[in-house]
Amino acid sequence: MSAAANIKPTEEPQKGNSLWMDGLKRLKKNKASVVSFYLIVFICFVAIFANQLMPYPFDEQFPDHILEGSSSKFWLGTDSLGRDLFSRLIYGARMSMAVGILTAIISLVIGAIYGSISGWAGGRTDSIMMRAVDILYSIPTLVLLILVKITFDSMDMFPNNPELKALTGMLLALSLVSWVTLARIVRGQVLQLKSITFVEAAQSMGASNFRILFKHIFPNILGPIIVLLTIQIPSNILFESFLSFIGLGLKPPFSSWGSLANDGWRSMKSYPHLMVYPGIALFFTMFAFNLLGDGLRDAFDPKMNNTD
Amino acid sequence: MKTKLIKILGLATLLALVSSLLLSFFAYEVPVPLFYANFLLVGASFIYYTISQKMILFVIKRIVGAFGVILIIASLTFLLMRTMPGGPFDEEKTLPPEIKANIEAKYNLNAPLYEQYIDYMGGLLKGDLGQSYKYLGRNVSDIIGEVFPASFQLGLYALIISFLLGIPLGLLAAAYHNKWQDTLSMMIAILGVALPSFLVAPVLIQMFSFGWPHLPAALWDGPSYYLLPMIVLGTRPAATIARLTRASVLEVIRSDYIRTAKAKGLSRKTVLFKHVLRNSLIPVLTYAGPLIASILSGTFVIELIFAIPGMGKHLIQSVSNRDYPLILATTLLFSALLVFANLIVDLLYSYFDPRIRLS
Repeated sequence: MSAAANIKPTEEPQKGNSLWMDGLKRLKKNKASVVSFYLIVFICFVAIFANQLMPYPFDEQFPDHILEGSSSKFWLGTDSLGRDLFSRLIYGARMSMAVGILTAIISLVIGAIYGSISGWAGGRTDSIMMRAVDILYSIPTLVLLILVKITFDSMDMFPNNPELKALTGMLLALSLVSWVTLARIVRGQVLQLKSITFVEAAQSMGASNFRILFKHIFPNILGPIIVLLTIQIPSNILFESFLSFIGLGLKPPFSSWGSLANDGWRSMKSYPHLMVYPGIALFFTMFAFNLLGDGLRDAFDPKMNNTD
Repeated sequence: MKTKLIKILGLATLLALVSSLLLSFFAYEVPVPLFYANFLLVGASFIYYTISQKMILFVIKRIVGAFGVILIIASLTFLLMRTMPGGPFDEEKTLPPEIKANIEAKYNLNAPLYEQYIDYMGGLLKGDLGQSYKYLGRNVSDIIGEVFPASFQLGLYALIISFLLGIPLGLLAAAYHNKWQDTLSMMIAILGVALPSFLVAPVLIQMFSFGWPHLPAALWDGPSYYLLPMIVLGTRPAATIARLTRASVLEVIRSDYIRTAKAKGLSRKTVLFKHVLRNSLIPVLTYAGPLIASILSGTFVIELIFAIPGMGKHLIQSVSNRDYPLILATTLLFSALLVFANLIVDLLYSYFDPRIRLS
């Protein structure tokens, strides 16, 4: 009762705010995050409707217009094969965002399942599972990634859909590499929650492990997981562009921002537009995702509640 | 007496490290005696510290365990590598089958897989990493020995830059929490995270090698060559370190012992540097372990753009070439660096926060 007496009466005492509403309110106060959010929505829109927005098909070549600057016909100029850079940039948004978001989701699902089993089981199972993660962690990411990617690429999945075929190897390889970090974080969260009373209460009422995990623990770690997701997406986009940049990413004629930058950087001095525009697109996306991620963390991370 | 000795040893080690770093920065070649003296001093103070702190058993256990881990990693990589389709001698121009069979017989590639595995592991235990398939007749250890120093040097400078920039930036942001200094520092940090190195590097080359031509655009041949790559390589970790430091400092500032320190009447500066900073370096250290390993073992993009003769090239190309011994060697080097860096990080944990007991 004494705890209840300490609660200050508010103007609308009956209207309880859920954790989510509180977080959203805090997020809305953060102008930079709100702007970033709209920017990301815009980029997603471009990515989804890329085929409709492109003035020309991304792989159509105009042999008479090689390496031209901006003009009314080609808004951002053309590349060394006479392809419209603007169209390729829009198409790049589609590829980059698809890799970023899908990879984050796949790796999150794997990581969350693995991490929560490990954390929940505890004891020997936990230490064996975590040791396996440690070992995976100590193989250089790039080596592991290339190994996995080559293997998946050779499997020739989706032979009828070249777009999907180009993407799957990259998606699976990136997810297989990045779930490790997520598993560790989720395990840490589960370990923390395990000792909290409401879990004990559910256990004493005879709830099954499965039920406790899904009904009690997952909703409670959803906040940190969403924050993690927003942080994971830009790092995946960066990783993809990184791989495309070193020539291990999407195979031509498909374009992502990284492969466009790769096409451009060697001729930076003579044809700066080839690198500058993909660079700007990549930079703003990364910037927006990072700002939003920071905002979400400040808004939803319970640890930071007292600092406002 | 004991603490005095530790302090003297520590100081000497630090001096040796800094002087050799400066030398290597300005003169490229570190004099060999200095290198050995340096190594001896670091080793001596390391051993003395672990003994005096009664951690020697922990360190020995970890080092023994590290060998096991490295063997497991070697096996796993071996397996992964061999499940990868394609072989080292599949070229576009197909070789006549007899010649290919001969070559494969030379490298024992036609033996059953388990036999090759036993062969390789046996060689590994004897310290023999085998011969490269791509660079004919060359030992893998020679190749690594040739390219590793440049990567290591670049990585070391980048690490120093990232810590020297990141920690003060994070501290500044936390000390002025929610003021303009905070916003500015965090904006810089987000910029650092959001700008990919393969965009920054060409732009910096354009600016400092062509626009205002004072720094060389490529190669690895002296202090002026080091500047651009180390800045490009250092910014991203610096930004991450700044963010980690800020978050951690903000948490530590709210703890009871800081309130006590303030209540004792200590100045803001003393509290911040002596009490807060030391305790808030733990998350930064956790991040430092993998960072050290990955940054020292070569970074492909920066070495490509600046044409630095480093490990990064082999890290990537060995896999595309299916140069099995070289893949394993680069992987093992990385793992060894990681294991070693994590050991150092664990020791530093207990140094910065004596509540953390090593066992």
